[in-house]
Amino acid sequence: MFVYFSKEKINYYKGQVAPFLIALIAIVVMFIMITVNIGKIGMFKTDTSNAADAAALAGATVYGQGLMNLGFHSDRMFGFYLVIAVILVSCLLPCKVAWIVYYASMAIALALYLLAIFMARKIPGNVRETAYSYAFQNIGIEEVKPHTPGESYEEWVRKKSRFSQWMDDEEYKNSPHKYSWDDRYGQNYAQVVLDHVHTPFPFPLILPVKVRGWKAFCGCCKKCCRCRFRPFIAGLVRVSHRHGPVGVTARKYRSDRDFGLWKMRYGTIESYAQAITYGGSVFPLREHTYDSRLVVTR
Amino acid sequence: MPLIIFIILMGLNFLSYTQDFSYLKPPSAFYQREQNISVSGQDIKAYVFQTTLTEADLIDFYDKNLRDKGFTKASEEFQQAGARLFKYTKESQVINIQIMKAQGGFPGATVIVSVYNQPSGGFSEGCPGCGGGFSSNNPLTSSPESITQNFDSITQDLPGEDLEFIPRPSGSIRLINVKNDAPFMVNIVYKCSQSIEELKDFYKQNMDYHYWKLTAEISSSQLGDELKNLAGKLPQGSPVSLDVLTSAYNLYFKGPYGEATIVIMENPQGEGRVVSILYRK
Repeated sequence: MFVYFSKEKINYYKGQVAPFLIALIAIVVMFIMITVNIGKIGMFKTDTSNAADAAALAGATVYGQGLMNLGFHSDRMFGFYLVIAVILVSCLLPCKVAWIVYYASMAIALALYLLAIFMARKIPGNVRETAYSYAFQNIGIEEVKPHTPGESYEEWVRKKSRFSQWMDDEEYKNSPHKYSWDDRYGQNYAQVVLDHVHTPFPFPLILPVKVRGWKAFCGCCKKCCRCRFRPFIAGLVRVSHRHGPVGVTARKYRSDRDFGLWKMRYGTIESYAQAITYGGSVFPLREHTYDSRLVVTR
Repeated sequence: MPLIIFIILMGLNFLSYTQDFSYLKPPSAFYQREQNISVSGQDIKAYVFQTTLTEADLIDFYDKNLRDKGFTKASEEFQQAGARLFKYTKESQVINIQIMKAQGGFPGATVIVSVYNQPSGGFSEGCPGCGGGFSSNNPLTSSPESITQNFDSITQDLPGEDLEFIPRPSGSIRLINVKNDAPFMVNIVYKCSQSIEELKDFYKQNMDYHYWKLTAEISSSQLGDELKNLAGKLPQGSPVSLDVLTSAYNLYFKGPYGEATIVIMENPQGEGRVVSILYRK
């Protein structure tokens, strides 16, 4: 075509724009390809961002729920304290019983406080499980469900993909928290890394109880000599690491793609998000509802 | 005739339950909680208030209101930690008022008011042993060495009842039964002769028959450093034996009835062991 134009350039004045048009079309097609590919990379980045954001927020929410449970536990501890404080001050019990009640109740209060520590220690585990689950659900794993010979369409629809089975088996909880899959271009993987999740430590609220008791024939507190304030664990005053935070890195690798013009290189793309809890308190009879929000995204 | 007497008694009983205690609520109280507590068959009505009033205002408020209602102040006690306790009486009716500074950086105070009738026999006017005023300085009342009560003299169940779905060890003696209506909770304390291990095994095996499921078992000795920190917060000369408290073994159960916490510990002041049960619906 170019030779023809070259030979006939004096006699043939029509179609001179054609080469430029062809070149322009080629450039436009190239730009479209670039745009599509950049868009695909953008979607790829969106996947990792979604995963990191969802995981961080879900993790922080679970952290907040754990603190909220501690708050309600603190209410119950305070309820127990109120009952015991009222009884011990009442002078309705004989001295010896009043004192054993104080010790037995204090032991119960300690047991409830121990339970609070036990509950707090479970929070990071729950946070991790939830964060990993949300991250993998949102990271956009596009795995083709294989079709086995002789399988009907209905059977194929009902069949779970390898990824669904992996999620159902809660394999995402296991280190290195990575899922790999193959497609016709090569191997892909998605990986989620969590920052260290702090274990909140509940601090006890210590309030006084007055222990009074009566002795037969002596009258209330006469010679009873036990009328004195004693300490009692009445609830939780605060927790350490009340804001969390929960930080998540979501990483996704896709092998090279051939779009016809050139090999499109995706490589590894990662996103990071960090969320905190705020708003609540574990102090007895206060607002225990915690909220969560993202504070870092990149 | 017996029917008329019965109706009159029921009416009196109803009146006693519908007594208006609104005069016990301090002005600007922003939280109110009412509790009906039964301790070994004896009823106590308790009110909890949180208020922004200062301690001095609260003392004036209660002193004026209760004197107007015919009560007389029987005792007043104070502790450096900021807790104050006032006792007012009118015939057999007793009102205890505990005022504590609000915790957690909040202004004002928490007030616990308890109202009950002191049964005759174990009560005389006032609380002379506690002394009026600042009893913590009273050598008769504050010396830890004076605590030498022997619990072994209790040989039979004290008034109250057991929970049918929580077993009690054989040969045990019930020391107390406390019930609270809202939130519903029951606290029972038994004195037992078995070892801590035997009692642990007893509850692990027998709670199962009542469909309880053991959710956790923790020894209080695990508190370790935390308990040492706690010990640092106890008042000087406190007779609270940390060894006794750390000897405790805690079993936590959940079941169709609710939650139960069972603490097995050495008897703090005598032979044998003590089992303390907290049941919550």
